[in-house]
Amino acid sequence: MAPRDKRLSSTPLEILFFLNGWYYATYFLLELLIFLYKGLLLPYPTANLVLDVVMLLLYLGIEVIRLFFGTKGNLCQRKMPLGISVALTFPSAMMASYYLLLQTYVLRLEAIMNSILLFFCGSELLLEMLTLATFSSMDRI
Amino acid sequence: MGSRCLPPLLLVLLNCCTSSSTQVVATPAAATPVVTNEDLNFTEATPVVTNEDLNFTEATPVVTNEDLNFTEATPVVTNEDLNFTEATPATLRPSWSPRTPGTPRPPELSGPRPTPVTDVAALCVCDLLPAQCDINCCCDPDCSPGDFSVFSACSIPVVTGDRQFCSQKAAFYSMNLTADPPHRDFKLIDQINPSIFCIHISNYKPALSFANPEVPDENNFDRLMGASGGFTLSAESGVPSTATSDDPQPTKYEYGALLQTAGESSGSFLKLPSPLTSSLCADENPAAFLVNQAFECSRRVAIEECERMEALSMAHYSSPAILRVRIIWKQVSIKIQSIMYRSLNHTLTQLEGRGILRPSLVSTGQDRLCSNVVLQVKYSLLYTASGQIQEAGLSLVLGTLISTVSLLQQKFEIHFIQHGTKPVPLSGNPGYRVGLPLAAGFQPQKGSGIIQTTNRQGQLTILRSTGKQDCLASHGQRAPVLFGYNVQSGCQLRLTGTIPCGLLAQKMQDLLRGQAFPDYVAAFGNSRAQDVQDWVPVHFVTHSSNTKGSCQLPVALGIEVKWTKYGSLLNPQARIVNVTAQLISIPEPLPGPERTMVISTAVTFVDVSAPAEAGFRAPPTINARLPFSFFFPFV
Repeated sequence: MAPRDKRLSSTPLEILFFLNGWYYATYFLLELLIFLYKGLLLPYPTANLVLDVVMLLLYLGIEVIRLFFGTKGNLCQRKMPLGISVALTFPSAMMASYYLLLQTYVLRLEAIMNSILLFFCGSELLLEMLTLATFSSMDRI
Repeated sequence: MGSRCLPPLLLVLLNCCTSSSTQVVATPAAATPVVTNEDLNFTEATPVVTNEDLNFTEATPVVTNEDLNFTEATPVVTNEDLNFTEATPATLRPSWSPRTPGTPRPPELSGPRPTPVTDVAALCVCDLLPAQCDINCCCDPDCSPGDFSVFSACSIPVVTGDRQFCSQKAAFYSMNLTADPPHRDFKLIDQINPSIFCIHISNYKPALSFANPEVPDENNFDRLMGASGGFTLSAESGVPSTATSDDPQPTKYEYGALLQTAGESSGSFLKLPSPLTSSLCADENPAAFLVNQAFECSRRVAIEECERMEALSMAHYSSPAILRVRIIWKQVSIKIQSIMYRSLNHTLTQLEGRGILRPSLVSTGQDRLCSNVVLQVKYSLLYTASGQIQEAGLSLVLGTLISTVSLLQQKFEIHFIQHGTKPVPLSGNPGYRVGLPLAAGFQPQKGSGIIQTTNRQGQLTILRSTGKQDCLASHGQRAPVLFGYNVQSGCQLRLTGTIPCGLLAQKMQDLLRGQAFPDYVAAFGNSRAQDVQDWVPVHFVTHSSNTKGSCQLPVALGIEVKWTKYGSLLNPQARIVNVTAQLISIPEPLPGPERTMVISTAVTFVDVSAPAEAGFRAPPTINARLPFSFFFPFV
């Protein structure tokens, strides 16, 4: 589909995916420890704690799929995997917003970490749209 | 309106007439009831509840309140106005309408539970006296600037909210002592918590306060009673457990139950003396049902008291009557079955009489002897399958005690035999024991069990050697084959005249084999007759010389028993795996006037156990191998 002599993959997007992968692994482990801390020291109702932990696991699944399809789409210069990654960025941003604003207790550390995740989502969304536009324009030519 | 104008006028008069001391003393007496009324109104309107709840929306009006306190010349009037605006109209109207200037104190109102104070600017934990100024309490709203001028410090310098939040309101109180007159400084600021684990946002409101208990009334009483119904049910469930269940007391004897005797009290048992911590006899050991026991203990005996000691008397062991079953009064008397007498030179003689013999002390020169002393006691109890004792037998061994002996050794045994059964002794349990005869028998037809003779010593036998070595003199007497003992025996046979060779051979074979040579030998000492797989067949082989046509005379029989150790290394059991009998024959010797032939039998036990090998298993290894893309897409 794409011309063989031109490389259309976005290096900044790949760098962001790589950093986001490692950052999300660290974020996941820290969130588990923070939930342990809040469950032990704060008056946390059990139903709320279970809900927050289950949503964290869902967030893990969404993030892994999004990063996988984003990397595949970017490196293989395919529009469909990259489109799936773009579509999954919105649920990922919603999850980060939930943990930033709506969970039972939001610590300052959690606010900082979720802000960084939202920054990753925004940057990746922008670069993915640019890369998709590049792929589409080259197909047309 | 007229009643409200009266207190301010009095207070204004107080302020104007400060120069006249006599009038000041007289005026407070007249103003006291009005102050009391205001106190009641004030305490009902704003009660102080210690609570760290944060309420950001109520901060501003109280700040205005404090500002008014500073600027106004008549703070009491201002407080009254604020109380009027803050109080509930429904609460205020009943308190004001019945009030008249002459009434000293209205009745107390029973309103709803007071609302908690959560504003840090209005929260004052050192305000302990209502409508009075507490000393050094800078947050007390009852204090005037004149009171603040005599304070030396603030007892509570800061009032803050929940410290776990990232930002909270904090009220700071301090005394400015350098000013003239000294006055209080009050600041309300936002305090920042620098920790990264502070709570930025809290979406769970009930976490910041205690639960408000629900007061029962006629509307919610049924629901509250239903919610606490578990208490009633738990109290009611205790009733069935207190009921006593009538379980019947068992009257029959059970395994381990103590054998009761008909004594003066219901707690008397059949005693079986046993050694306790030392080898000395303890006479209080009761005998238990179906527990076969054998004890051997020593007893200190003084020769002068032998006639009075009960433990040496024969009647002491035969006089108790055992109850047939427990609790029911039916007795079984103990019958003496046999009495043996052991003399001083250790010979045993059986006494025929069944009478009770008593120990008697006799003097023989220098020594004194005590005869008829009990040395051994053996009880044999016959019981039924339903737990009753049918018979009780007693066997005794009596002896003589001499004065040089101070410790007497006694033996006590008790055995239980079930009614309708006959005890059969075994040669081991399960493996053979050394010195016991081998069990052997016949299998009449294939598929049936093994038939054994009841004579335990006559199942597998060999020729018995006698002093005269005459085969025909002791014809019929044979010796049993004992496990583990290699035996060789023989005899001589004198031949005279002309006897047919066939008849002689048959006779000699009968001498060697015996009347009934068995076909099978038990593998274990306790092999049962119906378990043919537990029996080993006897291989009977005949060896003869190479001469053909001539008559063969059997002269030797060799029995080889191969056995092995079976089972655990700590407790190996002897098991017979092979039995071979060889009959050796020789040609008939040349006829002569008188000939003597020697025949012999031999039994050999061969241990064919394989040696045990010690070893350890190798620890298992974990062969874990992950695929190269295990951490994709992260690595």
